[in-house]
Amino acid sequence: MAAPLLEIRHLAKRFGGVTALHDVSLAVFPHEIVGLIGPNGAGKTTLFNCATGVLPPEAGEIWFGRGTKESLIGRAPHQVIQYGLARTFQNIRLFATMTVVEHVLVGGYVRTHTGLVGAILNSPEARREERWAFDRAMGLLELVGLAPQADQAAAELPFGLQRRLELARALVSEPELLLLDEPAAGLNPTEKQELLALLQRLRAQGLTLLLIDHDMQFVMPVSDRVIVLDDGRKITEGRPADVQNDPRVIEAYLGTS
Amino acid sequence: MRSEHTTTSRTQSQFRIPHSAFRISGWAGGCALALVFPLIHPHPYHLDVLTTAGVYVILALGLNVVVGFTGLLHLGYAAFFAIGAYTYGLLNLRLGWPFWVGLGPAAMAAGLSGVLLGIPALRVRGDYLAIVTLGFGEIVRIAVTNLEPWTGGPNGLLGIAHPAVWIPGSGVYAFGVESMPYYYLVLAVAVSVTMVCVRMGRSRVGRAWAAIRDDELAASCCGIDTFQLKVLAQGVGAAIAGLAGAIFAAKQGTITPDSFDFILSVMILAMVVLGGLGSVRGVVVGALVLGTLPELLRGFEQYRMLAFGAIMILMMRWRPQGIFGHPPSSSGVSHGRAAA
Ligand SMILES: Nc1ncnc2c1ncn2[C@@H]1O[C@H](COP(=O)(O)OP(=O)(O)OP(=O)(O)O)[C@@H](O)[C@H]1O
Ligand SMILES: [Mg+2]
Repeated sequence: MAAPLLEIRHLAKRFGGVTALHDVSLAVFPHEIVGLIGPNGAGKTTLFNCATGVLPPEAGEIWFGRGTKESLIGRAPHQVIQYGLARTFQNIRLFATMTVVEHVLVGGYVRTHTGLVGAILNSPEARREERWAFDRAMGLLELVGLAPQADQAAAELPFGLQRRLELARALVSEPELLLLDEPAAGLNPTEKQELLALLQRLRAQGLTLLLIDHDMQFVMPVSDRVIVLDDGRKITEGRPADVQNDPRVIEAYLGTS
Repeated sequence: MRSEHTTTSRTQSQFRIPHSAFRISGWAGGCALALVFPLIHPHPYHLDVLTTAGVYVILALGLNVVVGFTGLLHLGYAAFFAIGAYTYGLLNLRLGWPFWVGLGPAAMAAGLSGVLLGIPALRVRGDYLAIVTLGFGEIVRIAVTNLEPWTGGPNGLLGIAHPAVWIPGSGVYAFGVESMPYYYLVLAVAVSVTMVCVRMGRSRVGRAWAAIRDDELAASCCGIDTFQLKVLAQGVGAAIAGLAGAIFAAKQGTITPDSFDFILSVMILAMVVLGGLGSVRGVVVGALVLGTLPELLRGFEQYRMLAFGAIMILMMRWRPQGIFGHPPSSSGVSHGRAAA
């Protein structure tokens, strides 16, 4: 098997008395779609927060990259995305005063370089880059089906489209690995099907995906592999069909533990 | 993965602010009016009032970079104005530098002090940032008052040179104490700073500032080094205040510490808020309104601050986003429906 793209070893994180993550190890390989599931409060979002530099873990290692591995411990969020690891948020975090296309332009920040001086002088390079960034943003909006709404205020979009906009904002940074935190939550069945198709297309283009959901019906069909967290611990991992029938998983979900 | 998303795109660069033609004609009309006003109404006192209002416009535009574009509260902004004024004053009095040579260093000194203040201060946010900047404003004013051998203490600096220009054919023209040349100087600088602000606001950096203002965590997850960009905003905002300070010192010829007090910081902030946080034209209008209001209310000297306060309260009640600001759409961004 190829070398993992993301490798987490013995990760631990606590909030006061709550142990959100306890000795969690996992690996994500290139071009995989991995589902990360677990009941409420299992520590799924906390794992994303540690991996993207939003929260510092207490212990453990996080390695990322195809060729040379970089340690993500101690990195700030803006550095993590430069290595090619982008994310979305469970409770959508859009920019309240921006239009749809502006979100995607912000998402492309790491792929552009114009500084203040270039912008103030309105230099040819600055204009060229702005046009390039705009075209790319529009291309991505087309991909996720938001092109007609490009100039609308993002805050006015219906919920399902807001989720797609978050996806576009993350994708425009051209990540190697995309972490999606409950991308299907709150979507209706049609929207879920569209999202599934989109995720599969992205994977076919070479993207690797780690996605959280606690709706097993959504994660199971897309995922190559599923990792189950419960109460801050990894209880099992494997192929969807196997995990589904694992007594420990059933127990965790039924809450008989 | 790389660049495969860059599928075909539709028409490019129709991405512009709507009503832009309307806006441009608004700007052009305003500039034309400002240009001919002294010719049709050469009243020295009125020109003086407008010149002062123009200095406020420059200051409000600078503070808008910090408060409006980036969403950082700043309660000691007058300190940067003071640093610019004293830098030009000292360079002129000690080294004999003329206005045009001292202008750049004054902006740079203020900008540098903005960066130096920002490095420790911008690690805190919200209420703490307000207190730190408030303290900074007071420290600068007190320092200027007490560094008597340098700054002349409470008596300030006297006899700072007015600007002069060399006009081909008719020799050197000194601005002296006339109103008209300062009016045009301030107009030229205010228009330039406005253009700079419009361009900054629309740029990659301007969008990054707005992202920080709207949601700092999401901004940093988009790859924006939020600390670096906040320091940059404060440096740029401070440099613009330094520019205004040098012009002020050159126009007055005399500067004293009490020209740079807390009330001034609050006034400039009120102009930014009145016009609409982040909206360049709003800030220009806000500064012109509040900058001339005290003169329009001259007869009611003792009620001036009262009227001022009443306007602010009414604004906060009925139009908190300011005259031209974005409607408060933050409530529209969904939170919660997804959560668990
Ligand atoms: N910033 C925080 N401060 C304090 N406690 C936190 C914080 N973030 C998470 N927790 C706690 O850590 C535990 C794990 O939370 P986390 O959000 O990672 O769970 P989750 O698996 O994402 O759950 P959900 O399915 O509800 O989103 C919970 O007990 C939660 O209350
Ligand atoms: Mg969660």
